[in-house]
Amino acid sequence: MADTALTTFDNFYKNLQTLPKLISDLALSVAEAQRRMDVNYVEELTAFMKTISSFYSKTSAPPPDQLLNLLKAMAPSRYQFTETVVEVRADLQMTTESQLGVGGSLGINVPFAVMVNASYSKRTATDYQAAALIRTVLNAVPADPAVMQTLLSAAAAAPGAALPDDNRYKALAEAFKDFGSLPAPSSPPRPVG
Amino acid sequence: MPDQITLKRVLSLREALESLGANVIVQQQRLDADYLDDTREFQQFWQWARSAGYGELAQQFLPAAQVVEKAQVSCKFFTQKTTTSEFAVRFFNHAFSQQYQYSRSAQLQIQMTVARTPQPPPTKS
Repeated sequence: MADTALTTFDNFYKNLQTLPKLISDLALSVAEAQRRMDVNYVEELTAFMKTISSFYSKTSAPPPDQLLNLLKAMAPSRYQFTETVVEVRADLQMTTESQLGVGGSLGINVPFAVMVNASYSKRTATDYQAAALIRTVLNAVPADPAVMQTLLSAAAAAPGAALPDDNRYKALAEAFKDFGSLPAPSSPPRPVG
Repeated sequence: MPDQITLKRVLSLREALESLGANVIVQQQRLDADYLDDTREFQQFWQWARSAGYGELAQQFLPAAQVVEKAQVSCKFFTQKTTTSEFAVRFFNHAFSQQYQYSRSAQLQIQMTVARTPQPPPTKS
């Protein structure tokens, strides 16, 4: 019984080691979820721009100042995961029970009948409980402007190319294309008011 | 036997806790690797966006690094063993019984916090 309990708990502790991987998998999903939210934002922005464009004729696109005011007032909000809390809990409970019972009776029939009954029982119950809780707080740290500027400058020097199919930003690029198909604001901009 | 089990479990618990705490570093390494991949792919995307005339818009979607700020690890272990024995004798109209119950338990809880402590970049002496 003791060996079984030890093996069970050894397995439980081994399984605990999968928890950090589970947490980091969830954390990686946050980055993916952020990209999806970005795509959704651009799609909503495109839908919004389409609605605005429908108010104007095909030849006259919305003036930039009006467009800017409308964007400020009604444009869809962009959401970002700034803080993520991942909480993983694992519980194990095991109960073992064993019982032993012995009984006997003795009858003597001289000169009158005598009956003696005796019994003995032993019961052992063992309860094991183990629990683990991991609470991880993830913060999104915005890109360092200096580093990113250097990175983007280096990218700017390279010629523009088609995005590979396995690029994570493919969906965002598609949303951009829809956005770009809308009529551009007319120029020159008129002063506000 | 239960005492041995408890002792072994307590030792395993400590090892499990240490291991879980050390795994925070591995988590961060995985996140960092993903961020580097993300940045590389964003760079390609930005090249495309810039050539298509969306450079300024694309810049708003710069990837942000996910950083494990704090991780709390808590482990609990509890064990209890109860033994009950009963002896009974019946003789004529008399009965005698003796019951004995023995219970012992052990409980252990360990909590650990792993927090990020940003260090300044090393300077040349």
